Amino acid sequence: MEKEYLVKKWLNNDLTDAESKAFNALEDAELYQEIIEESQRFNGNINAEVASFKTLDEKLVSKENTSIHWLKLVSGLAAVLVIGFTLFKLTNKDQINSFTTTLAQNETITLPDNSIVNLNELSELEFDSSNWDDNRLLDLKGEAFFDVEKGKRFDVTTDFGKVSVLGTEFNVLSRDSIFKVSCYEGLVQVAYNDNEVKLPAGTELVLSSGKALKSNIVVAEPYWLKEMSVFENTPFATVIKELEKQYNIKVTYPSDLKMNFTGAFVHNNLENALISISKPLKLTYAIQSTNEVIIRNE
Amino acid sequence: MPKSLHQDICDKIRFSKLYEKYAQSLSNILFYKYGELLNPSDKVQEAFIKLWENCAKIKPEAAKSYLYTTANNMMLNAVKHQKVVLKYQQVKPKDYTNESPEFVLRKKEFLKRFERALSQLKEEERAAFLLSKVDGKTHKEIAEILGITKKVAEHRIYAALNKLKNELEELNRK
Repeated sequence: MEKEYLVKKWLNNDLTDAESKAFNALEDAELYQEIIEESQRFNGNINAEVASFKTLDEKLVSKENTSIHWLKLVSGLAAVLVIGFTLFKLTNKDQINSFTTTLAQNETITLPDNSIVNLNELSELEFDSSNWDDNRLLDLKGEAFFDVEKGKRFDVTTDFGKVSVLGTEFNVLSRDSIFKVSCYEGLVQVAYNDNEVKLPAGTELVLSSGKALKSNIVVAEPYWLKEMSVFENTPFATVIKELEKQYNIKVTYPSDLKMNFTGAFVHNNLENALISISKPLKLTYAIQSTNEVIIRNE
Repeated sequence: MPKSLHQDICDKIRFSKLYEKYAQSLSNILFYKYGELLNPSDKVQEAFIKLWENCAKIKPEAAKSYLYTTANNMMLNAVKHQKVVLKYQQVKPKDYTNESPEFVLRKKEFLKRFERALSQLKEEERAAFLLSKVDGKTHKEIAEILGITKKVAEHRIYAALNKLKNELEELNRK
């Protein structure tokens, strides 16, 4: 105890003369001294010497320079953009607007007359906004939902036919070989091949391999607006194809599976979507990685 | 804490004063704690550069602790699995030329063991010990730098000394 007290005091350079003598009389005093002496060799001033401020200053200066550079670059770019945009505005009266959506991406587009278009994934929409009020004409590839404000004719042209309306809500799907128009409000006129069909609210028209089929709509709004996919007695492969598209994943499943699926899956939670597909069909699934899923027989 | 005259340290002269005042002692602390493998002096410079970039946001009285924290964190990020290596100077602080070969040999062995014992200390013990006995900092200063109490600082220095002693004692008995 006495010793600890002395050593601590000594460490703090706080010994009185008498205590100093007592400390020196300690058996380990010499070793303690030697330890302190030799520890000087580990001095950070020599072993971890910092460079002079000048060297740091150079780094700081170069930083400043680059930031000025940046400012110049950015302001230059901004100026070019502004001038470019103004010129574009002045010279280009025919304004073509086009929108493209990729996998699992929806886009809501407000047209010049406040009509609203919801563009589903993997779709393209193009229109000329310069003379919109007199000429409401859009080109569509893929699928979109339209909520049209009242006004002049509103035409949607697709690869399969033309859909015309006067203020209504309707959905157009034109992808691969499917052409489907669903009318939710008002009246829609569909022109395909040489035929013309009028679709009142609550009906839809499906055109597949040249045959047109008119039926009633079950859902009050297109399912994809609610971020889910709905199927009625659909082959399993088709369901999986849609799932792969929505989540951008690769799904492997037994090829001998010849079941039909009635139900729906959500677009915002893969886990839930997989459950809603596999459970009713008595299947199991495993998520291998972020973009790989395996579905098996139970 | 003393109130500062200025609002910030965005001024080359004030900033350089700050560098002269703290850079070396900060580098020493990092060296004592983490050894030399991770370039403590580089980390100090990086911390100062960071301080300069953020100079408008940092009050002068907070600059010191900002520097210490930043440099320490940079070190911790780099440190993870590195082993501490403290290197002793090759230059001898004392002239041993008059000593016997036995003495020189013992000294060599002593230093080798010292180096090893020092690396085996806990980093907080090593830092407190070297700050006190090499940099000549008072217990109060050490307590401030390491964010501990004076009592703890005293204890750590004492513990470090004892551990070093135990490691080296054996050699002395020979």
